Amino acid sequence: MRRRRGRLRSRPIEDSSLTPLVDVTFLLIVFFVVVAHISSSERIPMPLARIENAETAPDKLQRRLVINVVPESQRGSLGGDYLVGVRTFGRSPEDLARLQDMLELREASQPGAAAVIRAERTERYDRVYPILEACRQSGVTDVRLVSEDLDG
Amino acid sequence: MAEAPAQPPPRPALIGVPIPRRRVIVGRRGITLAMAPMIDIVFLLLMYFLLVGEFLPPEGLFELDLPRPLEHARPAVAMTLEQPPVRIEVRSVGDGPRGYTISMTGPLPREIASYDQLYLALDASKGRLLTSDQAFIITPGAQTRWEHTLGVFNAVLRAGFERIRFAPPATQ
Repeated sequence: MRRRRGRLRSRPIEDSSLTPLVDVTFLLIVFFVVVAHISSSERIPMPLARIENAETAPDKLQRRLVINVVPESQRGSLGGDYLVGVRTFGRSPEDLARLQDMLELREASQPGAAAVIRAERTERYDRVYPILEACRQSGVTDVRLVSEDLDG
Repeated sequence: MAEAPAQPPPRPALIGVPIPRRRVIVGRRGITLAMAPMIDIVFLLLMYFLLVGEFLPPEGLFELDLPRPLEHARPAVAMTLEQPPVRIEVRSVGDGPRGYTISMTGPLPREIASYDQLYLALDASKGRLLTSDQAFIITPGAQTRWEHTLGVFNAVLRAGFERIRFAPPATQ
């Protein structure tokens, strides 16, 4: 009799529900999945140039625009030669003009923001140069060229 | 007839006094939080994302200051003669990272064997044959690999020169 009464009294404490905990856990999971997706779409995985004794600085830029020269193996799936955020551009003069317009808008809205150019180590120079030229034409003067950080 | 055992008389102090409820110790037996399944799922999710996730290696950034569009129109200061830019040509001649050739114009050795030799030649002539604000134009061929272009760029930077430009791709 005494034991039953004790159980009845402990019932409110048993109600400490796990639902908020599970909610928060899943919210965190969704958050990290979305953030990981955004960061991976900004930078295409590719073998970067390995330069010994490189005069590079670690990537700690706050304001930047990452321009990927899409590796040849991924051009079909990504549908373009250059990837900026989620937008792709081809090598045609029209596409390069669109890219230049985008860079000009970016420079106008965020003056001084760096353009970070990523290209595969085996990429041909004539595929990278149009990006350099587009940056110069659009007034972006702070350009960063990405290599693998052998010291990092 | 046997007499019933005598009951102990109630303690006089408790007569008429309400008995206080005993404090019930709850917790140890009543609450059973099933943590094991939740931990199982958390670890499964952790393993899933560790396997699915792509880990990018750390990246280093070369700094390149492109000329402003109006910089070419800057009037020259009177009585100063700027040295003509040193043009460095780089070509890829193989598939590997060491398959390249470097040649230069200007007062320095014309043929350069490696990035290190380029760096040493530039470093040795800084302040003597070349001023610290000497301009360089890197001229890769259209087919030159990007790593070879960056290698030359890095050698010039290492030597302490900052005025570096990239020329349009040259026909090889």
